[in-house]
Order: sequence, then C-alpha cells, then structure tokens
Amino acid sequence: MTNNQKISDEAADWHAAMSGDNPDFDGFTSWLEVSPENGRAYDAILMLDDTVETNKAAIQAALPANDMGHSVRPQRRTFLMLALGASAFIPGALWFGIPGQSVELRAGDSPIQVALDSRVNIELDRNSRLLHGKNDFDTVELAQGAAHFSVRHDPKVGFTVKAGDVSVIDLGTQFEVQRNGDQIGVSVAEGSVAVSFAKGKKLTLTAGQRAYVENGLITTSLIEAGSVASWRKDRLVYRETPLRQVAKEISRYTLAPVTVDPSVSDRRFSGVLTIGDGHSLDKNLADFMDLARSEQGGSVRISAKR
Amino acid sequence: MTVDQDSEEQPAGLRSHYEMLQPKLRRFLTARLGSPADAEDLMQDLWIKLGQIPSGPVGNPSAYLHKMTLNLANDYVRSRMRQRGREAAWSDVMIAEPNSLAVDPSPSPEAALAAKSELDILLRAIRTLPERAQQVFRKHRIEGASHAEVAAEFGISKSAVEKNMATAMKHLMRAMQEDDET
Repeated sequence: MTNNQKISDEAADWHAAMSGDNPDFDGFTSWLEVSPENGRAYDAILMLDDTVETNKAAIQAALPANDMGHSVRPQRRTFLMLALGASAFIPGALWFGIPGQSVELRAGDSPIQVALDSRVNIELDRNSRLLHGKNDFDTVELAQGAAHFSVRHDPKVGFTVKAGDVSVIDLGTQFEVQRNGDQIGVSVAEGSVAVSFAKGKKLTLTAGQRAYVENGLITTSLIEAGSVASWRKDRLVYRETPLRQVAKEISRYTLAPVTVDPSVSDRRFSGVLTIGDGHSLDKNLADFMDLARSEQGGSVRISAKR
Repeated sequence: MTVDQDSEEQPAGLRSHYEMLQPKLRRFLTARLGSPADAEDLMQDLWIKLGQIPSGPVGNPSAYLHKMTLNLANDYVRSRMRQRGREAAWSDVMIAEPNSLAVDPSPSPEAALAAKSELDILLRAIRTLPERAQQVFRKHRIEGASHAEVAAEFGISKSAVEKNMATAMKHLMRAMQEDDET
C-alpha cells in the first residue's frame, strides 16, 4: 500500500469515528498535527461524503430495496423531503473533478429534488435524466423526460437548460422543460425565459406561455401558470393538446410506450389525468377520448374504434 | 448526542464551557485548517454563534461544543475548496509520491468519453462493497438511520458500525481515485 493510500484509509477511519457518539477529539487533533497531508486526506473524505449526500436520492432510487427481510424502508415521500432538506445545505460545487466530465442525475419511479447550488432548484420527473458538467452549474442538459426549474436570477451569470437544439435561458423564473424524443416543450410558471431554437430562431416566453417544438415546427400556446409541471402534484393537465403529444408524455409513466394511430394523432385532448402508479394512464386516456387501446409487441396503440 | 440529565444547562452556560475548552478547540482548529489566523476567525464565529442559540437546556455541553466546532471547520473547508478547487480532481487531493513521475492529469478525449458519471462510479462501488459494509452504509448513510439504530438492527456494536462505515468510505474513495487515473 502506498503512503497516500495509508493516509487516505486513516482519514476514512477518523471520519467514521468522528461521526459516532463518542468522538475522540484529542486523538483526531493529534492525528491532524502529524502532517498537513492528513488534513488534506480528511478533506477528500469529507468531499466524498458530501458527494454521497448530494446523490443520496439517486442512489436510493438506483439500488434494489435493502434485502433485510425485517427492515422497513422509510416512506418515499418522507425520504424525498429529507433529501431535499439536506441538499439545501450541500454546496453543489463539490461536484468538481475532471473538466468536461458530466454528472448525470436520474429519477426512477418517483420524482427527485436537487439543489444544484444556492440559486437553482430542480425537480426531476419520473424516468427523466438530466446532465451537467462537473464544473458547471450554469448549464444543464435535459436528456429525457421533464424537469421543473426554480431559479433565482443572477444578472451576471445566466442559467441555461438545453434540450436537443433548444436552449432556455432563465430571466428570473420558474419553468418546466420537457423532452420526449423529438418533442420539446417549454412552459413558464413565473417570470420569463429566453428560448433559442435551431436555425437561430428566438422567443421570449413569459408566465402562462408555452412553446412546443416538433420536427422543427414551433407552436406557442397559453397555459395556466398553476398547471405548469403539474406532475409534481401527481396530475397531468391538458388543454387542446394533440393526442400524439399526450401519448409521448404519458409514456414516461406507463408500463409500455404509447403510440397513436396516424388517423387520430391530431385529435385534441382536454382534461386532467391522475398519474398514480402510471399503469392506467393509457387506458384512461383511451376511455376519455372514446378510442380503442390495444397491446402490440411491447407497446400500446391507441386508435379509432372499429 | 447523548443527553446527560445531571449536566443540563442553559446556553449561557455554553459560553463558560467555551472559556474552559478554548485552548483545546483552538489547537484543533489550527491543526484542521493549517492556519492559526483562520482558527482565530472561527473561534470568534463560534463565540458569536453560542450567543445566538435559542434558549433551552443543552445536555453534555462539552460534546455539543466539540460537535459545533467540527461542523464549523468542515463548513469552512467546504467554502475554501469551492473557492479554489473547481478544477481539482479526486486524485489531485493526494500529493504525488516521492520519486514518482508526474503525469499530465488532463484526460485524453477517449478517457473523457469513457469516464462515467460520478453517480455511476458511486453506484458501482456501493454494489461491490462487502455485504455487511453495504448494508450498514445504506442504512446509515443513505436511509439516515443513526449508528445506534443500525447497531440495533443488525445486532452489532456501535464500533462495528463505525468500522463498516470506514470500510465503505475507503472502498468508495478508491473507486473515485481509480476512475480519475484511468
């Protein structure tokens, strides 16, 4: 074992001991006094511990349930609130590391909340993925799904969300970005955002406005500010929304992806769907629209009734 | 923190404990921060914070003061690393071994592509922990159970909980450093 490794191991021992009920303060002081390297090794363990803290919700979501038969898993809701409470105190900048390396945040079967730094709070919907550079909290990329952003505006440094070739720059704001395959949507609940699209097109959206891009075609519409990112309240709210768009969005929650027959894909849906476990969304949608639903080789097809 | 009924006192009493423990706390902060001036600053912060604690009895004031000092030092180190450490990598935290070759730490494009996200590295490391260390790590560090609760659940001593936590952190640290070096 190298000397560095030995010091690093000692630092881990001290970190565990100092988190216990009877920390040996004097022993720890003496160990630190041996060499400044000891303090640096302890800092590294502290950083690692903070990184674990920051990723706690994602770790919990990614690991299978603890296999101790008699252990009771905490209620998910309570856990997420704790995770949020804790993350508010974790400086996001501890994600430092190799320049250019990105960090992926991934939500499993329930939304997760992340405080990137003191000005950006993110709620990431189920089965969604978000990336940011290890050194960069000013730009994130939504790789898949939906995320709600609450940003305290800093006039010196903008906060940018990228989704494909769409970029959303906050101007002091609460907003949602969705990315479902080639469909990208931006909805503003509060304040305003500047959105730029492929080929240099630009738009400013204010509270209650929504932009939707599909196949390079941009449509804007009005949306009730209170219904932005309504998945945070276990609901999906639609008003005059094309069925193909609804199908892509609910596929984030259903057991199998939902596709729509071209003959009905332009039909509009208005209504509220409750997410729950997500398994009945496709059936409820078909029932609401008086359409047929059939399972076809690993996906669900919604089409006209014969 | 354990509550010792016999030594419960009002926070005002914390300041008298501060007077008593001052030399020890100052020595710790100097060792922890590597700077007597920084240590002095934090001693003053500590004194101010003690005056702001809402009233109510504090069990074991000495342990309370020590814990506060530890946390204050950790927060200070965090902000210091934030200021200067954005470009540092896990492996940089350790100084180079004597007589070893210095290697350009910037990753090749291939290495950058191959590099997994921090979360992936953590998850892989957690999955390969020895069984008991993994159980203890998850129960305490991820699910938030105290050392005492974990000890009771698995029928082990609190010091065994500490040992398993140390094992887990060593394992995770190696995974982080190895990833940086590839």
